Amino acid sequence: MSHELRTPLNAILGFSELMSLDKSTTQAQKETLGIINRSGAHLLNMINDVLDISKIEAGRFEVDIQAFDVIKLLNEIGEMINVRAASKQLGFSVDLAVDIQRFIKSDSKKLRQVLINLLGNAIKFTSSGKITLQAHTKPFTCSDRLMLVIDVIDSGVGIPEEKQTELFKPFVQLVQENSDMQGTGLGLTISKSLIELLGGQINVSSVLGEGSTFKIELPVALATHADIAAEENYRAVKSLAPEQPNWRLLVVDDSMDNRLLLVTMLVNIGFQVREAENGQEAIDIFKQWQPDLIWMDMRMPVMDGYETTGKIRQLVGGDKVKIVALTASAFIDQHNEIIKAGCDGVLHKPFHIPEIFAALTKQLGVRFIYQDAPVTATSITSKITADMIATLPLALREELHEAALILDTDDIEAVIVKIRAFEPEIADGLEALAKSYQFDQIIQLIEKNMT
Amino acid sequence: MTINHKELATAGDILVVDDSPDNLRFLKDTLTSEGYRVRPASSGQLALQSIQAKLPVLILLDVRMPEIDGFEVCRRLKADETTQAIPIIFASALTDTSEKVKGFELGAVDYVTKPLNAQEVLMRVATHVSLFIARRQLENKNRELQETASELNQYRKYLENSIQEL
Repeated sequence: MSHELRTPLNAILGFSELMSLDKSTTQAQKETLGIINRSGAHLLNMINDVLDISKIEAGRFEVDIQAFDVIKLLNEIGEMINVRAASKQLGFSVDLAVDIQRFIKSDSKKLRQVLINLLGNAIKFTSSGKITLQAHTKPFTCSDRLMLVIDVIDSGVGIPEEKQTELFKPFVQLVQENSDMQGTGLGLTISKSLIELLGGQINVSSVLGEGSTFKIELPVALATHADIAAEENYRAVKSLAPEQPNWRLLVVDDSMDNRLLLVTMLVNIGFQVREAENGQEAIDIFKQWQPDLIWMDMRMPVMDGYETTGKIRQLVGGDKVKIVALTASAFIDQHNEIIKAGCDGVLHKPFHIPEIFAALTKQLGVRFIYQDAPVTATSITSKITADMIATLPLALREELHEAALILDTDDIEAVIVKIRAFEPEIADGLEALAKSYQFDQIIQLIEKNMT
Repeated sequence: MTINHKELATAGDILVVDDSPDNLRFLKDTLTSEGYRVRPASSGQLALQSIQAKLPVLILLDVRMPEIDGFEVCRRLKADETTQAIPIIFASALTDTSEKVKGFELGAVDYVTKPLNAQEVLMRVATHVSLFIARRQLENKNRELQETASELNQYRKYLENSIQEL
C-alpha cells in the first residue's frame, strides 16, 4: 500500500526540488516550486501518518528529535495556510511573541503535522472572521528546557462542551452532513497522540458560536543556530571536487521517472551514470561496466532488489561494489532485512537530494564542491590535545583522570578550577568537553601520555 | 513503604547512561534536584569503565546506543559477580512489549519509556533505591544474626566443655 502512494509523490517532490535548484529558475518560479514541494511533502506526511495510526494504536512509534528554527517553521506553515484561508476569504495571522526562543529541539515533522491539522480544521469550521496562530516560549524554573506554547484560535462554529472530550477519539467527526468537510476523522487523534508522544499536551476550549482555541504545550530543549546551520549548509552541492576517480554509478529502478530524477541529478554533478530498468539488466551492466556504486530499487517486477543484490554479490567484484537500497517502505523494520540482503545502506523514498550526496560520501568517500562556501560558525570550544594535557602536573592529571572515570561532575569541575590557574586555555577546552558530557574524551586525552 | 528522601540521597550514586547529551542533562537535573548524586555516562563503554571504578546503587540505562547498547551493558554487568546486584532501569523510546520483556529477562528491575517524564523517573528511582537500601539493611541484619548465632554456639560449646570437666 505505502509503495503505491509514495512512488508518484517521489517523482513530484524530486523534480520540483531539482527545478528549484536550477539556476535558470526565476525567483517567482522558485516560490511556486517551494509551495508545490511543501504541499507535496505535507501530502506525504499525511500518508505516513495514516499508515502510522496503526503504529500508534499498537503503541510503537519513533520520535526524531532534531534542532530546528521554530520561527521559520511557523512562518512556512503560515504561508501555506494563508493561501487556503484567503480562498475562503478568512483573515489569517501568525502572531509570535517577541521573546520566543528561535532554535529549539523537538520533532519538527510531527509538530508541523499537528499544526497543519489544527489550522486545516480551523479553516474548515470557520465561515467568517479570522484564524490566528500564536506562539511563545517560557522557561522552566529549574531546567534548561523550555515550554513551547502554541494556540490555534478560530472564530468558527465552536464546539459544544459535551462534545469536547469526544473530539480526540478516533473516527469522531462532529459534522458529518456537509460533504465539504470530508476527512479521515483521524486528524485530532493523531495530533493528540503525537503531542503526547513528544511529552506535551493538547487542550481545547470553545464557546459555541464564537470560536475555538486549541492549545499545545510542548516541553522542548534549547538548540543553537550552529545545530541548524550544519544541516542547511549541507544542501547546495555544485560539483565533484577535483582529483577523484571517475566514479561510475548504476541506477536500477523499474520506474522511468525515478531513474530520470536520479540520473539527471548525478550527471549534473559530474558522475558517470548508467541505468537499468530491471534486475537482469543491472546484472549484465555490472558484469561489463563494474560500477563503484549501485542505487537499487528494492521493489521491481520479475527480479526484485533483494534477489538482484544477492546475485551481484556472487559475481566477480560483486563483494566490492557498494549497493544502496532505495525503498518506499514506510517501516523502519524493513531496514534490517535490506541490510541482511547485502546492501550497504538504505535511503527511504522520496529522498532529499542532500541524502543522496551524503550516501555517496559515506559509501565511497566522494568529495563535493559546494555552491556557497559554508559559513563556519566560530567555535568557542578551543581544541585541546593530549600534548597540552601532558604539560599539566602529574597530580592534577591523576586527579582529573580519577574524577572523569568515576564521572563525578562536581570533582571534575573542581579539578578544572585548579587547572585554570595553570592553563586557562586547557581549562576552557576541558570545560567544553565536560559540559557536553564527553568524559571519555577527557579520559583518552589523559591516558595517551600515561603508561 | 515510606520513602525517606534524605536517606535515598545519601545511599550512593546513580549512574545514568545515554548517548544523547540532552537526555543526560535532563536526567541529571531531574535527579540532582531531588538530592541524588548523579554520574552521567555518554556511552556504554564509559559506563562499564566507570562502574568498575566505583559501584553505583542504581543504573538508568538507555537501550539504543551506538557500539555497546544498553542490553549488552546489562548482560555484562549481570555476568560479573561484583556488579550483578546493582538494580538497572532501562530507558528507551522502544515501546514494543518484546523489547521490554527482553530487558526484564536480562535482569532489569524496571523500564521507563521515552519521552521521559521527570515525575515518573523520580518515583521509579525512589522505589528502587529504597528497595536497594532495604535489601542492604536486611543483609546487614542477617550478617549480625549469623555472628550472634556463632558467638552463642561458641559459648554453648564452652559451657558443655566446662560441665564435662566438672
